[in-house]
Amino acid sequence: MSAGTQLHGYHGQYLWIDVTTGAWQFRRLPAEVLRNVLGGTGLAVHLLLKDRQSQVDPFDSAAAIVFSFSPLVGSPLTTSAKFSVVSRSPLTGRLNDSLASSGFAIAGKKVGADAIYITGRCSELSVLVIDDSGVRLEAAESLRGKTNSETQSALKQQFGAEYQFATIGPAGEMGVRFATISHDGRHAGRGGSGAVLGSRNLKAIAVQGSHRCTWAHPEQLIEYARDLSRRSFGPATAKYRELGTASNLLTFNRLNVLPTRNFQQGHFEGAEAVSPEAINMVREKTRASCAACTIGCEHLYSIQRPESQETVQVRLEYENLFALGPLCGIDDSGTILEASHLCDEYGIDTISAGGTIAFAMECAERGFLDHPWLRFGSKEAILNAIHRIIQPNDALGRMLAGGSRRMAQEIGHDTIRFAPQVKGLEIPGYDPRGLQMMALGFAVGTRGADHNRSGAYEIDFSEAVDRRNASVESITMAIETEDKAAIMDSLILCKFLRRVFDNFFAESAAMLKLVTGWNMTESEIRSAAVRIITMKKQFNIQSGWTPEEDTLPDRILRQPLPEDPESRLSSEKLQQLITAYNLARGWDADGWVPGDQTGIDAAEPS
Amino acid sequence: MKRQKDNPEVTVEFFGIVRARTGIAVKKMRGITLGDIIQQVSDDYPDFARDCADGFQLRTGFAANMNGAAFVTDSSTLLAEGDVVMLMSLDAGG
Ligand code: SF4
Repeated sequence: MSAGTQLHGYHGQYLWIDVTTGAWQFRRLPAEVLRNVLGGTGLAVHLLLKDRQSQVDPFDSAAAIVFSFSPLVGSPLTTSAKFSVVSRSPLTGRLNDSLASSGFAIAGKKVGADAIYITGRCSELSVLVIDDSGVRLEAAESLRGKTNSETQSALKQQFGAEYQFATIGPAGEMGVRFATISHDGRHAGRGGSGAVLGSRNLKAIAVQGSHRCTWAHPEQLIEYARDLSRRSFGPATAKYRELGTASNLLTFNRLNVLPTRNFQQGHFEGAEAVSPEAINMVREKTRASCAACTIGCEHLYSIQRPESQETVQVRLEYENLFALGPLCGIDDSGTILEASHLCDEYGIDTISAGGTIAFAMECAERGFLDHPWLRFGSKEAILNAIHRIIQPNDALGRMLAGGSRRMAQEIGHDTIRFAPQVKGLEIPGYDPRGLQMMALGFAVGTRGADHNRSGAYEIDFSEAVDRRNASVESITMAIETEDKAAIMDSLILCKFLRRVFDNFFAESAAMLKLVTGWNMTESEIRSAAVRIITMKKQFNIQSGWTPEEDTLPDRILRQPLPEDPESRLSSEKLQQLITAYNLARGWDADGWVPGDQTGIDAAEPS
Repeated sequence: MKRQKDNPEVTVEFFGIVRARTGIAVKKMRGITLGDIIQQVSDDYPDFARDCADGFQLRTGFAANMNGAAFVTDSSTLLAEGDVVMLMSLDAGG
């Protein structure tokens, strides 16, 4: 495959593939487009907007899913081996961008493209193979129903070590609306990109290539990368290296913002028992990292599988710990690790799985769902519920597979009041009543309630605001965290690196210059962030967004946290924050974007 | 002086990296200001002094929370008898 223009850091083209016909071609990406949207999520949103994908049902064969790389992938910059997966979400109906790491990003970019754009539907379950000899589909019927690790090992055997694979588990094949795409134990987790891939009849994508991008200033880049790696060993990342994100659990519990039993409480009496501090005492732990990372935040615990007695390693992070633990009332670490393992293998987002099961437990306890075995705290119940999500003929499993919003609509009885979701995406482990800047971030998030596209919790955990009574004066700080995230997801760098930078936007400009040779200023990088966020919003508007979607569940807006009555958030208060946010973004008070700010040039060739 | 027994007694709770560096979860201490407490923890726990504090001040990335409400980094913050001071990493995300 031939690469495109003489750009540094980019190939200047993306690979367009129609898996219905097997047709493929490289399509040019002009330098000015790349400068505007940088790469990763920014680039993918640009491609989807250009093709009016916002109006296509994500399960329709005409829908597209984009795997997008960045100018920094393949460079020596620490944590840069990441890729973004972007499509319309089958869970929310809105834009979904999720990121994953490691060798797939490096190998994927080496096929000679800055992004891989996939549309169409295969006639049978297939593997999409992209390598130096071209693009082809290979039958994958023998992989049907296989878990992620089974699929990855079968593909490694079949294709060899030079290939890297992105795979789906049985959940993606079955259209579970919060199915993930996995690579090497890492997941593009949220919003159901695995179901979009599954609906194309694609079990996996295999990539291998030899097209490297050049760097504009290789010597200075290596020097800079050395310094960044050195800084990444410092105290700013010690938490991730030594303890992992799971160490948030006890802090959040102490501050009464640990969502417990479907957000009925903010404090879990069993938190000590499931904390990483306690698990470390009784289980063997190892550490690992993504390719090209000097931080190494992965903390893996050994468990023995209940039936096979096989020992496996399970990655524990705050989000799977909270969602499959306190949120469902589970105080047994073995059960949480087994539940996490099942989600990883079946290819299910742990936050949405935990949120939906917790919601089902509350519905059952309140008599709205005829499954009396579904009880908070029941170890058997959570494991059984996860198994049922991938059972094709199980009525409860089919309900769970749609996520909590769809489930509430099916059950009725106004249960939507306590479905733990925003725009259909289940809320991560930060109780919005006690973290009100984060509440704003959840409400306005383009992909729904999300802790990776807004880092507003950083402001809640500072002296800049009263976290239980946030004011509109703090809005610009919340916006800054969103802007940072937009750049981190487009350049792409790991968010755990964020405290290493003194001036993130200026350093982003510096890194981009070393790789591409472009003289972008700090303010141009800031403008790119605003552009990307506006494009995401415009995708949502085109897909049918209305201002009423930017809200939080009724429970959050009506009930204070029982352990801390000062943690209360009214709908009026939230609306004030949202209005101030919209105006500060330059949108109208309701959040409509004036004019066409997609940056799409109608004359630009497809 | 800083530990004098007529100074307010507070409960200090340790989380995350701060707990890892001190090896303790909770301790009763006496001091007039937040800085007094940080200095005493630094004096008693060299790993904390190295990674989390600069004398009587917390390093960037660490904060104290008073009684589960406000976050403070100002070392001159006055303490009252019975206060609960939580020392933690600011980096809550993930
Ligand atoms: S810090 Fe963790 S998530 Fe980020 S790149 Fe490194 S290992 Fe991967």
